[in-house]
Order: sequence, then structure tokens, then C-alpha cells
Amino acid sequence: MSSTSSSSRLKRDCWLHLPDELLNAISKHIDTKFETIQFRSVCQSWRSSTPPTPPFFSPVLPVPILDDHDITHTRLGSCKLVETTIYTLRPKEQLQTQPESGSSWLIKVEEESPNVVHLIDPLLRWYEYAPPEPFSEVLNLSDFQIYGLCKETDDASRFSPKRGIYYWSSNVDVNVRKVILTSSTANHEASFDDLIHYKGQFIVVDSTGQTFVMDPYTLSSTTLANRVVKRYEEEQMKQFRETNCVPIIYVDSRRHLIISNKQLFLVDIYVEEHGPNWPCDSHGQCMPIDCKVFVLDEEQQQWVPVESLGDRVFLLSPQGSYSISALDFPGCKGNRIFFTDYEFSLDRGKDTFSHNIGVFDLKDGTFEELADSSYLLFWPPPTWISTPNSD
Amino acid sequence: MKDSFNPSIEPPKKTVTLVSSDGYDFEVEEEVALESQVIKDGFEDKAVDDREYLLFNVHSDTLELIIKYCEKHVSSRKSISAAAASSSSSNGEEALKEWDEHFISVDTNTLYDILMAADYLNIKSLLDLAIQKVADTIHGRSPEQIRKKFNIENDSIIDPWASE
Repeated sequence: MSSTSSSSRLKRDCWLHLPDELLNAISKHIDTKFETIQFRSVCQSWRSSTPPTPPFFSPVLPVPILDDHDITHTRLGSCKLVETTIYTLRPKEQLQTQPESGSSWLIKVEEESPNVVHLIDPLLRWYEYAPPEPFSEVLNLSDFQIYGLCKETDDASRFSPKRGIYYWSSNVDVNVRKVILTSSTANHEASFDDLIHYKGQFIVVDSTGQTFVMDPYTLSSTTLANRVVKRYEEEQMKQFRETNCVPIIYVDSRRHLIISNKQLFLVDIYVEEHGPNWPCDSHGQCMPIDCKVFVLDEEQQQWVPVESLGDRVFLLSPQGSYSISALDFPGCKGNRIFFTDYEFSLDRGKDTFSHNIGVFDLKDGTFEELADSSYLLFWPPPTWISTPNSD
Repeated sequence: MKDSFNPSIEPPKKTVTLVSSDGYDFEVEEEVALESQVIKDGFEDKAVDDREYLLFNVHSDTLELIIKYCEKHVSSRKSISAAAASSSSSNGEEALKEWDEHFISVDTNTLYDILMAADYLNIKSLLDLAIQKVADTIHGRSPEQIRKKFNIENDSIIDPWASE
């Protein structure tokens, strides 16, 4: 039957005159601001059917503030939540010519107040960095293909001289960077390694890898995945029992949740405690010694080990983690994980800007500091960004 | 087994007739037709021998696809609930999702027909599927590429940043 006769019928303009309620329903599936702008730029009827994205709900919350260098001193301050979105951008003519080897650019955009946006280095955010020259010009978004990758919510006071804000719980000696805002008044205290919003639900993972779905209204949790078999810790305990010697190096693990190709992944990073590279620096950042990746099998409630990420590159940061395809970034190799929250820059004394981004190669199982040439793939932006219509 | 009288045997399936805009009759099982909320509403008020629906807005090509979708969903639902009743594990929902994805992977003309028919007949799951497909097609495309893909003529020069 059908597709031939169906396409042979005259279909000119049918999408132009789509009923408003259908256009509106379609636009609700497009949840980033820039993509909504693209959608609304298609034609008049698409534009009039769809309202602009509302500004991000940006509450000012009273929170105890912990100063960077004075952890014994807390005072009450406030934090204002802002939303940042990470996009990939590529010149629009590229899709037809070289779909596999396109050069893309990552941007991280933060809307501080309506129509005031900040462009942020997509890999780092704790370092202030001068905006690149091309941005004295206007960027015409309709010249680009734009794809929303991930949304993060963070505290706006990052722009103040005191970088970042730490939430301080009076009896728990931890820095908390991600929180679920809840309407529940239940007194609930639990400690988790990471938190992510996945398929409309809040997912948390604890220090054993056990993973839960958290209901923000009641703070009740249901198990999503069972604990991960902890290779390092268990081996160490075994060794301890056999030799009756106190180990010289303690291994601690940290867990990160990340979504890639609509699947949920868990990245376990093992760091040395009391080893030669510890203590690391004033921020408590450590040099990792190994890394394991798992993918969620929802049916079996298990984290299944992953041998290779293929062309994907994972980017892990305390604010949020996301993945990109190495194919979009010429010179960038896949099957790697970038870390921003660990100690990699050994030569801290040097005057030059040090990005301190680490790379883990899953194939070789090795860590190294991200080479400057690789960092330049992401920042500053390439020249084509300011001259998209050079033809 | 002997062909003996069995009081619990199911009566012959009731059917309804759907007539496409270009005049073709499609005889389908009642429960398949009832996937459409429009047909379901007021179904009981209609006389049993008058269960014929003229679908002025749905071409036979599209109706064939819609019926295929509804039949699949009715039968999948049955096997999923049967598996749940016998508490045997099944990946029925996962399989149905895959089937849906394959079903909706069509050209934009056919996608438009399915979208409009699902809206007209009020088949919610199919409407959601078609809307998601349109949104996925839009993702990562510039306005010009969207226009090209959906055969839309740019009817104005708009400054996308202009305030309302």
C-alpha cells in the first residue's frame, strides 16, 4: 500500500496550517529556550501558536553559607537559583555536506534574568574566564543547528567573588551541591553521592551504588538498582584480613549519574586516601586511580558493567553531567570521560591558566590531564561562530 | 479434543464498519474500533446493526495504518496483562515500544496523515506518539532545515529575538 500514494497526494502547506493545539502540543516537547526560538522562527502560524519559554522560576532561598576557607564559620545567607542549559551548535550547511565529520561547538548558557544571558565555558564553571573576542558581535541563532543537551540548576552567587556556595548541614560534615526542593515537612536526612532528573523522576545513588527513585512530595524512595559489587573496597578488606596489616592507601569511591542516549549510566571513580597524592589541595580534590562505568538494567534492577562508550564522551562535573558524540568534535576521541572535580594539574604553582580537567581513557584504563590542544576544542569558540555567513 | 458443546466458548467477535473518506469499507473488531475515543463516546447508544462510521477526514491509506496500530495495541495489552496475571516476566511493553518506534518511522506526509487522523479519532497514545515524532524531527535543526523537512514556506522575515 500506501506511502507512494500517500506522498503523491498534494501536501503543500499542510504543516503550515497545523491546528494550534497540535502545534502547542509539539512545542511542549521542546524544552530549551534556544530550540523554542528556532521552532517559533519557522513561520507565522508556528510562532503565534506557541508562547515564548517562560523565564526560569528563580526562588531566593535562605541557606547557611559556608565560606571557602573558613569552614568553622557559617552564617545565614540566601541563594538564588538560576538555570543553565548546554547546547551543541553547528553551522547549518554542514548537515548536508559532511554529516559524519561536522564540527560542533558546545555552549553553556545561563539566563540570569529575562534576556540577559551569560556564556560559560562548557567544561568548567568555577573559574572565571574572559569572554572570547567574537562575542562583541551578535550571534544569529537561526544560522545554526541547535540541540539542547542538558539543563542544570545552580546558584547565581557563583558570579560573586566567593566562588560557589556550599550548603551546610549542622551535624553532617559534608558539602552538598545538589538538592531536591520539597514541599514535605518530614524530617528526612540521608546522604547520597549523586542526584539526577531522569524520565521525569529524581534518581539518587548512595555510596554503595544502590539507586533509588525519590518522590519529592513525600521523600519516600523505591529501589531502582541494587548495590554495585565494590571491587576496590572488597579486595582491600580481603587483603587486610589475610595479612592483618593496615593498608597504606585507603580507597574511596565517588559515584556520578549521567544520561547518555536516553540511558542512565553510573560512573564510579576511585580515589586514594592517605596515599602519596593525598591530601591533594585545599578544596579536598583528589587524584583518581581508577574508574568503572555501568549502565542501568531497569528490569533486573542492576548496574551492568560497560566495557566501551563507543563514540561517546562523558563530561562529569559537580553541577551536572552530560555526554557528547566525539564525531561532532574533530580531534576529540570517543570512549573517554572528562572530569572537572578532581586534582589533575600537578604543577599548580605556574602562572598560566590551569584548567585542571582530567581524562579517563576506558580502553587503556588510564588517567591524564586534558591536553591544552584538546581543551581548545571546547573553548574559546572557533572563528566560524562569529562569521557563520562568510559565503 | 472433541468438538463438544462448551458454554464458556466466546461468542463470535462483534465487528463495526469504518468507511474511509475515499469510500472503502474496513470491517474491524469492536474492541479495536473502541481505541478511538470518538467512536467509544456514544457507542452504546447506537443500534447494533447500525455500527458503521463514516470517517470523512481519513483516507483509506491512513485508515489502514491506524487500524494496524489499534489491533497491535489491543492484542499487546491482552498479552501483557496475561503475563502479569501468571506473574511470568515479559518484556511486552518494551517490545511494544519498539514496534511503535518502527511504526512511526514514516515520511513527513504520512506522519502528517497519522497525526491528523489520531487527533480526529482521538486515539491518545497514537497522538502522543506522532507528536513526539514531530518534536524529535525538529530537534537539532535550524529553522530553515525545519521548513525544508516539513515543506513550509517562510511566510515572513521574523526577528526571533523581537519581544512580543
